[in-house]
This record gives sequence, C-alpha cells and structure tokens, in this order.
Amino acid sequence: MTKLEAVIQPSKLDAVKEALLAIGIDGLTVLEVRGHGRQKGHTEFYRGREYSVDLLPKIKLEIVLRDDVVDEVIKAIISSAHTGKIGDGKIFISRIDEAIRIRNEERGTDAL
Amino acid sequence: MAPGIGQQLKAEYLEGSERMRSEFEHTRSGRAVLLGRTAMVDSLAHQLWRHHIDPDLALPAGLALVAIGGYGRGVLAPYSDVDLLFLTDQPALAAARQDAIRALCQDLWDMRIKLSPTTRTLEDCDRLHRDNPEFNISLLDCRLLAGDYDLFRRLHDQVIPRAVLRDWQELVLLLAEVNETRHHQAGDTIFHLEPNIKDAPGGLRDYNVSCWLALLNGFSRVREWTTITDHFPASLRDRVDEARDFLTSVRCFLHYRAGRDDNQLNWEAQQAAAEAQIGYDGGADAAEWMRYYYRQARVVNRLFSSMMSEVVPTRSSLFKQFQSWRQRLSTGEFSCVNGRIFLQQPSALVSPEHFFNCFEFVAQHGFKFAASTDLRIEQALPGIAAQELTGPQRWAALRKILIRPHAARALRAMQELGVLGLLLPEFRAVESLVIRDFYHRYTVDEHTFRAVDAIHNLRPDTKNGNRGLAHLVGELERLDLLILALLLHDVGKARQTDDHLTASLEVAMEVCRRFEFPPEDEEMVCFLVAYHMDLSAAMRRDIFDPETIHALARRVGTPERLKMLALLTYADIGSVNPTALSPWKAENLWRVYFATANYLNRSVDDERVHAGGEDEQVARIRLLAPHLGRRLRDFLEGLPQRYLRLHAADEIIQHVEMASQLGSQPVQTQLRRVRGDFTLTVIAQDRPGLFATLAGVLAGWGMNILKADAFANDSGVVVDTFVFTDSFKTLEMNIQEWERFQKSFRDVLSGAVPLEKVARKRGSRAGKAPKVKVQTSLNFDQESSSHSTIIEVVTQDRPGLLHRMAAVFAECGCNIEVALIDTEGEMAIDTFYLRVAGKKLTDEQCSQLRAALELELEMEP
Repeated sequence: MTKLEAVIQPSKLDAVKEALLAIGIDGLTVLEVRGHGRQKGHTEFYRGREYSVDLLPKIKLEIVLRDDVVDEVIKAIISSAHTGKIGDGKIFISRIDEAIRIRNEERGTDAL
Repeated sequence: MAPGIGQQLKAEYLEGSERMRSEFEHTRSGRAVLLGRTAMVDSLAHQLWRHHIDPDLALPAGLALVAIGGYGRGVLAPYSDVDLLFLTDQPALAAARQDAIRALCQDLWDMRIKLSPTTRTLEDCDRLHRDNPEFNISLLDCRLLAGDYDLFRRLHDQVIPRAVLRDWQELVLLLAEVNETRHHQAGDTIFHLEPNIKDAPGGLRDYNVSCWLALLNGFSRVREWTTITDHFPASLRDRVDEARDFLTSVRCFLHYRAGRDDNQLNWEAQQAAAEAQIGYDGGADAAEWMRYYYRQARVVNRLFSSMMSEVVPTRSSLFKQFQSWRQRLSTGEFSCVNGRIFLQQPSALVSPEHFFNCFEFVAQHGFKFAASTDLRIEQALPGIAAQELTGPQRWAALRKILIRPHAARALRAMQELGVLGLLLPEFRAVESLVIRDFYHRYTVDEHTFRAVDAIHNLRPDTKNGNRGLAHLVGELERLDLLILALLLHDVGKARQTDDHLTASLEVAMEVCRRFEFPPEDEEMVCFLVAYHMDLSAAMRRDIFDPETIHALARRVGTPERLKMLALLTYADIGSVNPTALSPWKAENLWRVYFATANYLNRSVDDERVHAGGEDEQVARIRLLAPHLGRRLRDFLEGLPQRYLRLHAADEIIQHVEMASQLGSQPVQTQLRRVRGDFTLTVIAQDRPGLFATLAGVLAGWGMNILKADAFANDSGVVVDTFVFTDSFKTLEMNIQEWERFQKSFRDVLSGAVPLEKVARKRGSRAGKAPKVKVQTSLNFDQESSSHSTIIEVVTQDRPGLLHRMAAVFAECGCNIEVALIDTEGEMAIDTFYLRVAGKKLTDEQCSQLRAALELELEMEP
C-alpha cells in the first residue's frame, strides 16, 4: 500500500476531488494547512499596518491506495491541480505497512 | 427462584413488551407505553419480592422496595433504566437479606431490564450527597412497591421534607449547575438539526427538572409536598402537557426503532417519525414534522427557563453583588430582579412605543423577561397588532433593537412571543426551518440569530484572531442595515427553490419598500442579500490571484459595501456550525478583505466612466431625470467609477444641475445634514490648491472632517464631498449660519476673502490631547495606478490635518486627482492620487514630498 500526501492550492480542491471520484477514489482526508515551499510570501499594508503573508494557505490531501492504482491517481491529481504557476504544490509518496479497519479489524487493502 | 419461574416471568415480560409495541404502532401513544411498562415492571417487582424477600408483600418490617427516578414517576420508556431503592432502617437486616436482594436484581437483569439498584438507610436519605445530588433528586419521585409501609411513610413524610427544607438552597443550586452545563454543552439552543430529545434544551430532561424545581419550590413555601403543575406558569400549563406527551411519544418511537435507550432524533428517524405521524398528523413531510417538534421543545424550554428563574436563588455574594448592580439599571418602565425583567407599569403596554421598548431593553442589557412579563406581552400583542403600524414605524421599532449588543436575545424573545412576525412577517417562513444537509447544524432562524450575535460579539479586544474584522464593526456607517440584511439573507430558503439568493432578494426588496427605505439604503440591503455568497465563493478561488480580487472588487464597488459583506460573510459562515469558521478560513477571509480593500483604494483613477459603458446607476439616473440628456454624459465622462458607487442617483442628478450653473456661479455648494453629521459638496472648475483651500475653510470654521472624497471629470470639473462634525455646534444651533458658511467657500475661492482670515476664526484652537497615540505611516505606491502616484497616509487625527497635508501637496506642485479621506477613531487614514504636470511623481519628487510631509506631520497643530 502507498500513501500519497498532496499539498495543493485551496482553489483546486473541488477539481481534484472530482478527478479522484472519476477514477473511483472516494475516500480521502482533507486538511487545512499553511506553509510555503520555494514560493515565499510577501508583505501587504492595510491602513498603515503591515501584514506578513509568509505562510500561505494550502490544502493537504492524504490518501492511502492499493499500489496498482497509484500512478493513475498521481496523474489525476497533477492534471486537475496544475496551473503552471509557482505554488501549485507537491505530492509526497510513502510506503504503508498495514491498514486496519477499526470496526471489524479487516486488514491490508481490504481495510482501505 | 424455583426453576422455570424466572423463564416464565421473562416470557411474560417479553410478551407484554411486544404487545405494547404493537399497540404503540397502532395508537402512537407514548403515554400509554410509559404507564403500561411501569405497570409491567411493578408486577415483576411484586412477584420477585414475594419469591425472594417475603411472601407477604407488606413485609418484612424494616425493609422496603421503593421505585425512584423516572420509574418512581411511573414513566418508563421502552428501554429506559429502572431505578430501585432498597430502603431500610436496620442495616443488619439489609445485610442479612443481601443475597435475596441480589437474586431479585439478578432476575430483573436476566430479563434485560437495565437496573440501577441501591440499598440505603433512612439516614443515608437524610443527607445531601454533594457528589451525587441526582440521588437526592431521584428521591423526590419515590413510590412504594413492596415491604414496610411505615418505613416508606417515614421517608416520604418526614425524611425527604426535612432534608429538602434543610438543604433546599444547595440542592437547587447543584441542580441548576448541572443543567446549565448541559444546556451550555448543547450550545444553549433547542434548534439542533439532530437533537437528543431527552438531554437537549427543550427535551424531556428539561421537563423533569422543571417538575423537581416545582416540588422544591413547594417545599420552600408550604413546607410539604405540593402538586407540581400548581407551580408552573399558568400561561404554559396546557401547552406543557401537550409538549410532554409529544416528546414522550417520540421517545418511545426512537426506543422501539433502535431497540435500545437511544434518544437521538437523527435525520432518518425524523423522516420515519414524520411518515408514521408520531405525535403530529400534519403529513409525512419531515421538515414540517420537525417544525412541530421545535414548537413543542420551545414550550418546554420556556417552562425550564421560567422555573429556573423563579426558583433558583442567587449563587454567591459576588453573584448577588453583580445582580444588585444589574438592578440599578432599572428604569421607570422596567425593574430587574435576579436578571429578569419586570414591568413597572404593565398597563402602559398598550402603546407600541412602550411595547417595543421591552425588547429594546432586552437587546441593550441582555436580560430575560420574567414569566409575568411574558404573559403581559402576550396579552398586549393583539392590541398592538390591531394598531396597524406603518412600514417606517415598524422599521424604527426594529432598528432600535437590531443595533443593540444583545439584539439576538431580543429577537429570540420576539419570535417566541409572536412579536417578530408583527414587524417582519417574512421571517415567519423560516421559523424552525430545517436545512437537511450535513453542513448546517441549526435551523434557519437559529442560524440567523447566531449570525446576529456573531456581529455584536466581534470586539477589537477579541483574542480569537478576528481582530481585523472586529475593527470593521466600529467603522461601519450603518450597522442597522447589516443586521437587517443578516435577518433577510436566508429567508428565501423557505421557498422550494435551488436559488435561495434570488428568493431572498425578492423578499428583501419587498421589506425595504414596506419600510419605505431611501434608495441607497434599499440598494445596500439588497446588495448584501444578493451577494452574500460572493466572498465565500472568492475564498474557494486562488485568493492570491489578482484577477480573483479584481473581479470581487468590481462586483462590490465601494469599501463600505466590502466591509459590510466581509462581516456578513464572517457571521454567516461562523453560524452554520461551531467549526465551520476555522482559524484557517477566518484568516483567508481577512486576507481577501484587505486585498480587495487595497485594490478598491488603489484603482480609483484607472476605472472611469466613459460614454457607451453600461452601468446600472447611470441607467437609473437616465430613467429618473431624462431631461439631463447630454449634460449627464458630459458631467460623468472621465469621473472615477467610484463616484457612481458612492453617491445615490438623486445626489448625482443634483450634482449635474449644480455643474450646469458653473457658468453663472463658478463655485457651487450644497450643505446637508445626514444622520447627525454634515455633508458639504463643492463643485467647481479645478485649480491648483483647491482641495487644500476647501479643507482650510472647513478647519477655519472648526469643523472636524470624518470622511471626504475628491474626484474630477475629463472637463476638469471637480466634485469634492466632505462629511464632518460640527465641533462648535455653529451650524447645528444657527440655521442662518448655513448660508454664511457656504458663502465663505465662494468668497475664498473667488479671492474676495483670503483663506488666512477664515482660518484665523478657529484656527488657533488647540486640539484635545489624544487618547491613543497613532504612529505616522507614509506609503508611496507607484505601481497600482497607471496614471498617478498613490500616497497612503495613516496618522494621528488632529484639527486642520487635511488642510495641512493638502497644502504640502500644493507647495510641492502636486495636483490631487483623487482623494479618499477616512477616520477611524483618532486615526486618519487618507489616500491621495497625485500627479505633477499630468504625470506620476518621479522618485526625487517622492523623496521631497515624503520629507515635507514628515516635517509637517511631526509638528504640533
């Protein structure tokens, strides 16, 4: 099993969800996060006060998948979250040893 | 127990339970189930007593079996607990019978009856169990099942009255504390979309607590057991019985449906209950059935609230002091006792003014009405309704309430007493209206009231990260219109349509017309209602994409509208459910707000009116004043779009007329009084130092400028508008001064009188020492405007400030293309679009101007 952690633009959440649904992925965890990569923030002034916009709002998706669908899911995320501008986000991939469904203790891919 | 008897009793019990269930499916009577199950368990208890304890139901002496709690009251729901007390005055006897008692309980357990048995002596029952006050309370419902009758009479007639009279105050406070916590955990509202009908506010627990408070109240007054309902407010007695019976039936339905003690009225259960017409035969529509539920829950909640206020004593000396302080707020019309409002002159309630003053008092101070006040208001309501108030009278009454800090509490009281519909009948459509999705936690009316609270609770000292938005509340010109828009923003949800925005807008237009709003007020309310989802929508896009911000700015048009919309959005999202407005979302809202506000203030001279451009406001003016023809087009040509958004159609028509007369009188002035402040409009041909001169004359008269804007069209005609307070009441007290005041502008601009002469009038006065020190900030922006250099000045407000800054611009050769002047408390926030010889300032000119401004602003007035 594989875990994908995708950090995307908040405005792309609906598009990514739709793209994932279209390929049969209907379970995911969504987190409201802040951060920055190479896309650094900037400073804004409002009414004489300075507002530092250094940590930008992002959405982080977490999905645990069967290994055979990982490539398809990555493709779906990239195609739906891509704008070509700085700040489009990143996808992190890691191995998952085990998954357990708490309700009935199913294990492995059955628990996904 | 002899083998087989346990099985036999169990079989009888299960058969009886099944029979009751079948009857319930036929009769839908929860009351019959409660009584039936109680009788069945009584019968079991008798038989088991005879078998395990004593063949004679009235023996042995010194031991008694007592039903307490809900079982004692005789109201056992299908799967609710059975509370049993084994009472003794001889601990040795109870110890000797311990095995028999255990066997009796075991048999009941084996029948799958959830049993809560306890063995206590009379002495145990005679003391207050601070760690378990529920036990003391459950004794109030005691009922003898078997055993020593005399022992039970001693409990009932001596021990309980003695203990209650001794510990009455502490017991009531413990009861109040537990239940206030329970209410608080439920958000202090009955309007949950999936309520727990036992524990939620307005549920059966509230009814039971009310009964206990009634009994305790009876003991404190006549020192003996009294009839519970005698202590209920007369106006509620009949309705409470109906509500209790309804909730009881629903509870039985939920128990049978789940097969366990489940009191959660979730969506599926609501639909099933509506289809089965449980307690209400108004059709199978779940939303309609839930409305009936909320009506009943509201009755119970009122009873609970009334009993709590009538019976619960003040808590501590500190609390008493606080209450005493609150009582000092009592007026000729109202007195406050224990935070409850009583009428000083109930007979005066026949006049609408006195009638609505009650709610204004609630909105101002946040108290609740006493039960007697509720009753008097309900009695007076038909008389007030018969007086048929006009639209403006209704708005005046409503407005006074909306702007007060506890407006939502007053609105809830108005709704409960049927008064809100008198002023705003459209709101009736969303009363107790359920939105069946997983996002909304509350009914539409409760969501709306929470949104009103959210605005009033926003304070600059807030620590929840919404400080920026909190400041906006203080800056608003029309809080009343924002709250009205909040009241109306979701009324369209009552119509069966996917487009609630349009439906709500139609209602808002109707309301504004009935209230006879001036066009600008109607426009503001309708804008907020129609666009109340726009900021949320913008937040789902890329909020750092300039196009997102520009598009939003174009739709919103003015900073004031943006402020109102941002606050409405904040209140709307935050009132959907407790976690809907996460800090992440709130910060994004603030970022969208200030990015759009900055864009609005920095794009004024790039977005101008040109012939052929479509604009609603221009179309409206053409419709209202077709005679203006070409004069209108010439006047508007090249003026910033902002001008059209800031001024109402009738004002613009007057400006065109004034501009037409510049040939005969080169300086046109108009002075008006708007909501306590003065507004001066000056129309003239542009000339060097014009804005500085006008600001100088105003300063000379001692006027304190709050807001100002200055625009110019392509023909060089300027429209300068100043909103100011009359510090010395010169204009306020002397109407004849109005003309002299306006003439001074004409005299100075024509050169007949030097500015210095006017400026000396009040120019030497020193300003008051500032309460808040504002750091001066100068921000030069060469990028936002394609034509001008923008300078944003934030500094300490002081007399003559605008004149002094404008004079510096003039001395540096700068022409003011646009000026946007604002004041927030003691902070002046001014934006100027400047050019020198028709071009942006060079870097060198910027440096010189910065130095000159800093020097000027450092100097004391």
